[in-house]
Amino acid sequence: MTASAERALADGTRFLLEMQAPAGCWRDFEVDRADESDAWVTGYVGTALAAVAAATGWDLGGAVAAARAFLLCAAAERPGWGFNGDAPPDADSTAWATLMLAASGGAPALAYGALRTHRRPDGGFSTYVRFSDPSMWEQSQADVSAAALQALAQERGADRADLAATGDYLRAAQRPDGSWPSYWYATPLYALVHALHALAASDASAAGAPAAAALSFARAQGVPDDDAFALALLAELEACFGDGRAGQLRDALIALQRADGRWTAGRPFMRPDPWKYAPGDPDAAIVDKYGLFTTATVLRALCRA
Amino acid sequence: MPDVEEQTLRALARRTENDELARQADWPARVQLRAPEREKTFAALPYAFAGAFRPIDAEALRALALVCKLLRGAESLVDAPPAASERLADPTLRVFAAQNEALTALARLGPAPAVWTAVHTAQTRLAHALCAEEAYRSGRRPLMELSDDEASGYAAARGGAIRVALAGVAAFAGEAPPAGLATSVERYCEARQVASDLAGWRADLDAGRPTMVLARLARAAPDAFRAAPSARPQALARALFAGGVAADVAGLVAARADEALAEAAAFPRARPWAGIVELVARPARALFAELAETVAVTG
Repeated sequence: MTASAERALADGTRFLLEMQAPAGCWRDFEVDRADESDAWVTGYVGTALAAVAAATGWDLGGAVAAARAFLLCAAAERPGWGFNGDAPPDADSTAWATLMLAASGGAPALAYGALRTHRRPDGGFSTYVRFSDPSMWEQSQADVSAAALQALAQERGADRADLAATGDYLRAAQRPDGSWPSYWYATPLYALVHALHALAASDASAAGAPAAAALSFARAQGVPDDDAFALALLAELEACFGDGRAGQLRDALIALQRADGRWTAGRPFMRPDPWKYAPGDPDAAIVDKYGLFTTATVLRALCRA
Repeated sequence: MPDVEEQTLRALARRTENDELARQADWPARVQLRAPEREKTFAALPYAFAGAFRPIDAEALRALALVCKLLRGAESLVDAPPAASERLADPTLRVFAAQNEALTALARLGPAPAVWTAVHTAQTRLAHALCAEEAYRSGRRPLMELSDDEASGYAAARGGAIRVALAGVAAFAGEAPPAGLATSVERYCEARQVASDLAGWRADLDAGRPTMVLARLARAAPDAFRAAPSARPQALARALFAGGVAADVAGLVAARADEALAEAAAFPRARPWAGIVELVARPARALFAELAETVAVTG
């Protein structure tokens, strides 16, 4: 890792530590009624922080332990995790919380069990077991399935046939242009990066051909040079599945870091209620108001690039 | 508000919030420009009025919505700073940032002098209201002396951003704000704040914040106000709900909201504004009916 990358990583990590709430969680994204997410964001940010600790050897144990305690308490009285305590448990939040716990000492069996309740007959995962809009519980979603498969692959003694079924679902969901359908994200890169990680986690040899098509799609599409979220995903894609273009993207990311150590998304990227909007409607998406999700995404990329 | 109309306004509100967060990028994450707003349509105020005027440039309308959203955030932070436990930074810094961004955006828009005047009037009016309330909060004036008229004026002072939205849309259309819409805004602001004071009476009591609800309680149940701190909330709750104070206040809120709707009815093309008013009027009517029944049963 270059000195400038290490400095950026340190400043970004410090930002995350300073923004951790006394309860141990991270909160971000404001949706209707001024609700913010805690469990989902904590799972995602905590997973990134665990990756930073693993890549650098820095002692982040206090923050990780606090996040771990928050997540375990949050699931003490219900199966799995949700956007926050007022929202029902969902597969995406449960997957990220499980990944965070698995990366920091182990996830309880209940977490994997809760995640499996979201599996659909096609091998994919829907966000909710039941919800008002059918698109969220009747259909598998590729971005959710990708996170779920990565989490289930961490389970000791994981059922290989189950993992393979979800892997088959993801392979079948890949479009001819190399991308995957993206339900929750405005950028296709999130689903793309995590589908490839999921395929690789379930079977080390499974990501090769899908990755070639995905890389071709991502490179052809390009990314706005002021959009740290999309750039970070592209950098992670290149670092993990590409051929060495990640260094250039890493330098672009370092240049985008803000004075307080965070990164901000250049475009709204998360769709909190996609069923209310027409496909491609730019008003459907929002950004992370504190930049925690974007910063965590960049830190993941810097650890790998 | 019909579903489609409300959804359109919510989508526009989300666009404004995203514009606001784009301005956030230059400020520390801890210095949030955005104040939590449970009612998201507040981020789309100019759009709610726009139909009543000649067509306005879409980008100017979008920028005006951002100005109003930022002004609204600054107003909220001045009026009700977050509790120390919820603070990421000194609220003064957040007001500083929100005001800076609002006025910078407004200057870029280059509006007619009437809009600058509307901003000035809105902010001086709120400052006067907060200073007058401080006299009651500090005990320099007894709460029971806070009259309904005075309290209504302070409540209505909370809607500065809405008045700026109306003045701005009118100015960009090259028209004057119609008196009927201005009156509708005035009544709405009063209704909305008094409704909020009724819902949050316990928090206001703890914070010593003078409101019409608490002033009426102080007059209706002076003994309950003098009760020991441990017994006071229960005694006041009894006077509020069984004694009829809450029903009277809810009736007043519903009446003010209905007046706002009646004024807005003359502007059928500003139908989204009437939809925003309905969001206060509907629950107020329902609450009034429920509380009046409670008083009838317990009284």
